[in-house]
Amino acid sequence: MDINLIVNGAAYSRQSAYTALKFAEQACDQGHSISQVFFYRDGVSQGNFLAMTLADEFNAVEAWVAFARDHDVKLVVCVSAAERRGIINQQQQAEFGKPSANLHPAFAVEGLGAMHDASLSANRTVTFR
Amino acid sequence: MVGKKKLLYVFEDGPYSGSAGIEALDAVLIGASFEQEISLLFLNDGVFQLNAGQSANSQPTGLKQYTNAFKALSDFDVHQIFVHDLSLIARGLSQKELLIDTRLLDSPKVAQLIAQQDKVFTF
Amino acid sequence: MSALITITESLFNRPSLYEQLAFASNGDSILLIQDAVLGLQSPIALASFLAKCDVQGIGVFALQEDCDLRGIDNQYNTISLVDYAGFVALVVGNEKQIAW
Repeated sequence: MDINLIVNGAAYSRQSAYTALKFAEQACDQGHSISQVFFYRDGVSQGNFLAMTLADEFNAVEAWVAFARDHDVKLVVCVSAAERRGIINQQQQAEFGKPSANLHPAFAVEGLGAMHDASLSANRTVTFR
Repeated sequence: MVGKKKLLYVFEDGPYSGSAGIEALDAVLIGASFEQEISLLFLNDGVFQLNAGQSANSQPTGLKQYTNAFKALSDFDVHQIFVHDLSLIARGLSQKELLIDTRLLDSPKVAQLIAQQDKVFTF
Repeated sequence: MSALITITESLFNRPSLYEQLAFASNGDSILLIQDAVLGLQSPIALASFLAKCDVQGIGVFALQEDCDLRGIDNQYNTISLVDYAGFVALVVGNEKQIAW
């Protein structure tokens, strides 16, 4: 089955990212495919690769990047939600003259159309708040 | 129509203290361009999103009254706008005090609406 | 179309989420995750909610790992504890998921 995820909870502040990732890994282990993980609202903070955690703590951005690499999953942050929260890639940094970029390059920056595309084509859509 | 999916966007929080309402509305406006069967449902404090008594902030740097944008939904061909009746009544509001035309649903009708959907996006 | 409803917040802090049971339909399933498992420790806290679920024909599940993390002992034999594989099976087994 093809499943897409919508993740709205902030990195570190909420368990949401961890729950979503564990779900996604288990779905793949069972032979399902995760077509896209769309990060919306505070969920966009999970693309921030400047986030630092202690060695024995869950690091959302590293965990998502490893998961996406292993299972060929598309990670997407919502452009408007991410810009408002200061999560931008190098292209946006250059375009808007910001001092730094912080979005991990494994994450794509797309609009809410991407969330709808994935939700309309997938067999199941699972939202993590 | 064959091939069209039913998408429901649920508004659960009031305006201004958080971004749930405006980020739900952003999702609705994009969803409307996909030519599916779109509905909005206002539950709990979400009914305050549609309260007509909100004062537009005249300061350009203040919080803007984004809820006026709900009036534009009909331009996007979004007409299925539902409000949970008990949520509205319990909060001292009535249908005529809302920004736009809505249909009131009791709890069993809300359950029916949700049961008919292909996807439900909650905010 | 049957739904899997996931609840992430506790009955004690967000009772209104549990009143939304009125919006669920016969054949739906509810999975309690994150702080929603906090209600499982008390043998009375979830009793009336579960009785209503039973009347409405709604199955109730809770995520074992979230109980274990919080030291919660499930007091209800009508709540089935599931692992993440069970979570995936619930998503696959219902046409849609709704995050309350």
